[in-house]
Amino acid sequence: MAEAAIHRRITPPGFGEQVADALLSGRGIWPAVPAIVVLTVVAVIPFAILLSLGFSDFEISRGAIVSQTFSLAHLTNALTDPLYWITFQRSMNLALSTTALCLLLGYPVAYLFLTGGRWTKRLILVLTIAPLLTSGIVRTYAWLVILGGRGVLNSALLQTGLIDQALRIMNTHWAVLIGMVQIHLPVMILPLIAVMSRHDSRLVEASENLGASRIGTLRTVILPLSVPGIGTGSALVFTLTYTTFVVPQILGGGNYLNAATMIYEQVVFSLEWSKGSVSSLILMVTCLIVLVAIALLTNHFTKWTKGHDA
Amino acid sequence: MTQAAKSRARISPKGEVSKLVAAGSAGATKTGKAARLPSGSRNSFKACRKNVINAQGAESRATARQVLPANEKSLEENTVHLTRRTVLGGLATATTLASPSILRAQGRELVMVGYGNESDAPLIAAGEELGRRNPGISLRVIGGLSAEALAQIKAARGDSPYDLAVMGSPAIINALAEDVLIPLDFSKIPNSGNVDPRFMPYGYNVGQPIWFEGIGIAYDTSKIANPATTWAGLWSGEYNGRIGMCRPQSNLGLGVLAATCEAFGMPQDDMAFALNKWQELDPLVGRSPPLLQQMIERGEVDLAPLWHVNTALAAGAGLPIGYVKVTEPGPLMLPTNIVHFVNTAEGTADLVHEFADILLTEGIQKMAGSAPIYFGTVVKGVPVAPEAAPYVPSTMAELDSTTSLDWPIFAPLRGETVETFDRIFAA
Repeated sequence: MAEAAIHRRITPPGFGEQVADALLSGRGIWPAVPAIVVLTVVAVIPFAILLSLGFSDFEISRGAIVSQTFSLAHLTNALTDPLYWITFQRSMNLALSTTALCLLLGYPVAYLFLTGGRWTKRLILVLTIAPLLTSGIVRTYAWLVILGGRGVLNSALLQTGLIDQALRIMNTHWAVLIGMVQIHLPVMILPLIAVMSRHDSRLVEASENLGASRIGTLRTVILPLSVPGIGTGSALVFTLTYTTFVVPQILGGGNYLNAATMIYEQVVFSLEWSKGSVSSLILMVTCLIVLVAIALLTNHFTKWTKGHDA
Repeated sequence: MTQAAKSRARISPKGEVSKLVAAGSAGATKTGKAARLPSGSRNSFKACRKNVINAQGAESRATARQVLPANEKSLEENTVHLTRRTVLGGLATATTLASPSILRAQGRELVMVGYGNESDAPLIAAGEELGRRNPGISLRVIGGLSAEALAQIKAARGDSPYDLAVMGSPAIINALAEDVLIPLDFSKIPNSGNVDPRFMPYGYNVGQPIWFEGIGIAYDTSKIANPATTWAGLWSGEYNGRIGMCRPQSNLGLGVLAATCEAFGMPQDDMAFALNKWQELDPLVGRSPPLLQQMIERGEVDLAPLWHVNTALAAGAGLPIGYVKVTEPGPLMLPTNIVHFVNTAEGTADLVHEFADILLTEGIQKMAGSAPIYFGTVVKGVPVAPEAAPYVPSTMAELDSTTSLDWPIFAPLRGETVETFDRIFAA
């Protein structure tokens, strides 16, 4: 070992080894360079091109843009149009309520994972991951079978005599919300499990030994320690819900319009790319604002936890 | 070198390399230096290699005297005598081996936008016929909306990933606005002369009409005994809250709005009027015709304007769904056309024309007009299949009154109409 170490010191590493050392050292941005290049080519550049269309009037010949002039008209029109405000407000409400419901339903599952036995943990993991193995479209269509006029829910309620006429759940905001929560629940549970199972279980034991009740331990020990998981899960669920397209498309019906479906229609059916570009920009900016708020809140409560630890 | 090493060197098919290894092994073993040198050292490797070369140099000449005669004999035995037969045989073998590549180079694949369901069958059958007539040519049908294809071509800045498409008349108007179509030369489509003249204008001089779809009213026969037979009849008050409609982003939704205008004596492009009239009916809205069809199937609406093809498919599956060929205006039809996209490969145009011609043959038209496809035929003299008669104009009176809409005046309003629709229904 010592001889080999001396030899390494004597023989300077070649250029290839130096590059490999730099990449594997974890210092700087080098390890992320391949991902940055790929993202730049497939995401940043196309998105920049798309955004540029929102700030220009252009002419097309044989499918190609032949002239382009700068214009702020599309942005100002969008910002002063009540339809945009209503649509984005609806999307925001839907995303925030989905995130809150996913947290309310997901946190107890993650807590059960933390406190449960080996088989409980395995069962929770299987039940959480299994839905992710099927397509989101298939899972959304399953709700058509359940919530439809002749669906499982209405049939059961009619047969038991609780209602005498089928409830109209499909093609409403509630159908979209139910579908959203079910589809995105695993995305909330998994980060919570990851963060909560990482903590030292002796902290919980110490809390209980010091006389804290289970609720007290949950409130003062487990909950503060799981704040990073709550932040990560909330950010993921919010982003996916705010920008989702499939669930409102299938469960919301033609009367239901959210930001993603509006952009799809502007780009594909109306072929009004300037409007689609401006809508995408508004979607991205508003999404970023909420993500920053989630990050700040997470940091705030994590610092508070660390302060108590110290 | 040991006798065994010499023997290995002689019989080895690897020649010099094997001899070097054999000699090197012997030399290294003899000196024993390799085992004593530090492992992993570059210097040790150089020393080892030097030993191998020295050992070979000392003994290789003696070994060569024994090896050479055997090699010469082997060379003599293995010499290939070139004759005419061997040359021809070699050429034949090379041609056989290369033929897949040659065929691939000569082959060409036409890519078209189709329906993505069983309605693609006549397109595929026509593609196979095209392949039989032109060896090496094949057709790939990709399911999708023509609107999505237009968006993709626009995204690709005019470099179309498709050669051709089936496209309804309103989509042609949008495609012309985007300047992504090459007009077809109808003189290169001999069967075009057999097409009923009333359909030809709906290709707008760029597309060839191949069949049509009707717009009527689909209804749940278990809930409605006597459905409306005219467009204005929908406003009798009987259907309020029970009716479905399609968003105007689809040709169906847009066409129904224009028909509504026509039914109430308004210009077909007065979309605000039509939308307000539909709001009176308190409709449930389907995002697309297939989703609207599913809403009827699930019992969410009792009736809705629908393509005759969607209705026939649902009824064919045994569901209690009937169809009315609504009049005043109507029965309404929308021709489907073959169109050729810009910036496709050279030589594609002839194939597209030939493909359109095949689609207009009697065999393909009969196939497209029967179950489970149910398209209306545009070719004169092709009879309506009995199973399609409840859905497409089949009597002389129906055929005479069959009409379409003035798509060029309201199709360009699609985006604006969708926005107005959202302001009224979704906001």
